[in-house]
Amino acid sequence: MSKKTANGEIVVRAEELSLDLSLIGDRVSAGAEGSTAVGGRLMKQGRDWAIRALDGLNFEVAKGSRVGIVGRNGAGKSSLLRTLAGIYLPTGGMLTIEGSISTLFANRVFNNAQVTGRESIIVSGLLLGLGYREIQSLAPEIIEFSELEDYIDLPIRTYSAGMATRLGFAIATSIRPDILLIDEVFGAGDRSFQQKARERVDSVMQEASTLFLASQSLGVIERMCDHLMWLDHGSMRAFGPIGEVMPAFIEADAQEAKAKTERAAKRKEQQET
Amino acid sequence: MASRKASQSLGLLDLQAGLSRWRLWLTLGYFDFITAFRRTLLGPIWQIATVTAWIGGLWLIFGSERGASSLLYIGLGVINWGLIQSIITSMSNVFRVNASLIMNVPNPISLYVFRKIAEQTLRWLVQLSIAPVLMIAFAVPLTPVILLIIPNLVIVLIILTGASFGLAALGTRLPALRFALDAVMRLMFFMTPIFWTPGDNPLRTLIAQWNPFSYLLELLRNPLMGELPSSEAYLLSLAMAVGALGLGIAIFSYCRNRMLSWI
Repeated sequence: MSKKTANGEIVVRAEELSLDLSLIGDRVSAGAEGSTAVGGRLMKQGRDWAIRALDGLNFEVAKGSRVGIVGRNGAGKSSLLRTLAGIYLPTGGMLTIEGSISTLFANRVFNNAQVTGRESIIVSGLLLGLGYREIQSLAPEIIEFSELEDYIDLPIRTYSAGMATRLGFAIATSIRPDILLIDEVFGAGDRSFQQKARERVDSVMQEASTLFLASQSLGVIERMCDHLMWLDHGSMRAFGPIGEVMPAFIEADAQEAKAKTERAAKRKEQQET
Repeated sequence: MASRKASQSLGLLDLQAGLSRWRLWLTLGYFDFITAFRRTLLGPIWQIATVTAWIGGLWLIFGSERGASSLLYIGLGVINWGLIQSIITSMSNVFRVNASLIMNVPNPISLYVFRKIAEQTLRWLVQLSIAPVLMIAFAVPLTPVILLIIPNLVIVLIILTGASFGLAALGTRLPALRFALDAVMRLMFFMTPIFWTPGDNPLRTLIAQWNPFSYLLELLRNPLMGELPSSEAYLLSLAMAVGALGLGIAIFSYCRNRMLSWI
């Protein structure tokens, strides 16, 4: 849990926040409107279809909060993170954010296998918004953490997948933002590195003043977060202190799983008779 | 405090923020260009070799009867056309190519347009290194006129940048634009006085006159031949710069907010 305590200052405020992703040029079957399939709701807007990825979210997050985001696949977790990051612009409502934001969405930033590890640190750092001098001063630590040593001046093409991941991970986690957004804590490298990687993510999360973490792993969320946001088909099912929301989420999840096995059993029974 | 509302238009902010990250897009453009030649013996000299072969071939078939001096005209024509053509055709899928960076790292997307322009301009610069050889061989007089290449390049790049933003936005919405642009630019290679001159052929004169690319080419080629571009070329290019930049930014801004769901 956070060492810093929430001091009541609101740093993120969403009012009726909605996000539609247009499907212009894609064919949608006629009866799909309002479908309850996994994913955001499919909506018809005039002649065109769209996915309602986020549907009228209202919430306020105070400085120092650690917000875990849970929900099934397609519930809107990544869409919400991308909207908070400023990658997507809301198509409805309003979002107000105070402070610098960084994202840990992907293990690798600059994806050119022909550059050397050292060059990749520079380009990726610039992409993450770091200054040239800052990158120079961070580079030794990144190289040390990734344990690439003599490989650092070889092109990434010569690395194994795990080695490339180590480097990308070390670069991505060298940032120190006010607000940190993480999508599914990314696994990295072999077993010995995974432990190191987890410690490093933990320390980045600890240092960020405010955290949003989307994950399917309730263990990670329980360890890192003090608030829980539960999304379902783009809508907010619940948002509050983790102790209040988590039991309801777990129960609903279990019920859904039970209903699904019952439905499957029934179907099997019908097929057999 | 940063507020984001549905009604707000991101277009101009994105352009401004992208332009100000010049160190980043120059670096990206540099690596895009240079890494293609890693582990090759000749490196970027390949660029020079291929363009020289093109120029030689075109001159043999279309220029040799006009004498050796047409080699200078054709050579500078081919190199400068390369800049125009490569920027325009690469824009239709520039955002799709960068999709994973766009979706995972919050940066202005105009960055990727500038990145591509930087890469292609660098390619042109390397190819241009054969220009001095041609200029010395054909005794182009060393006059200040040659220096006009610098402001003229700026004008041409402004026009191409404006066009790039329009084409990049349209190409994201309409994937077919890629095929259309390829076809059009291949046709324009023959419709633009690159390896031919209007001479006294009325049809060719007409085509050259109505083809906007003729004037861009004139701005880049004439100074290197020691000739002043016509005032007509300057006037039309300045008009094109204003038009392309205005229209390109308008299209990009109009599409910007929805562009990410089209990628």
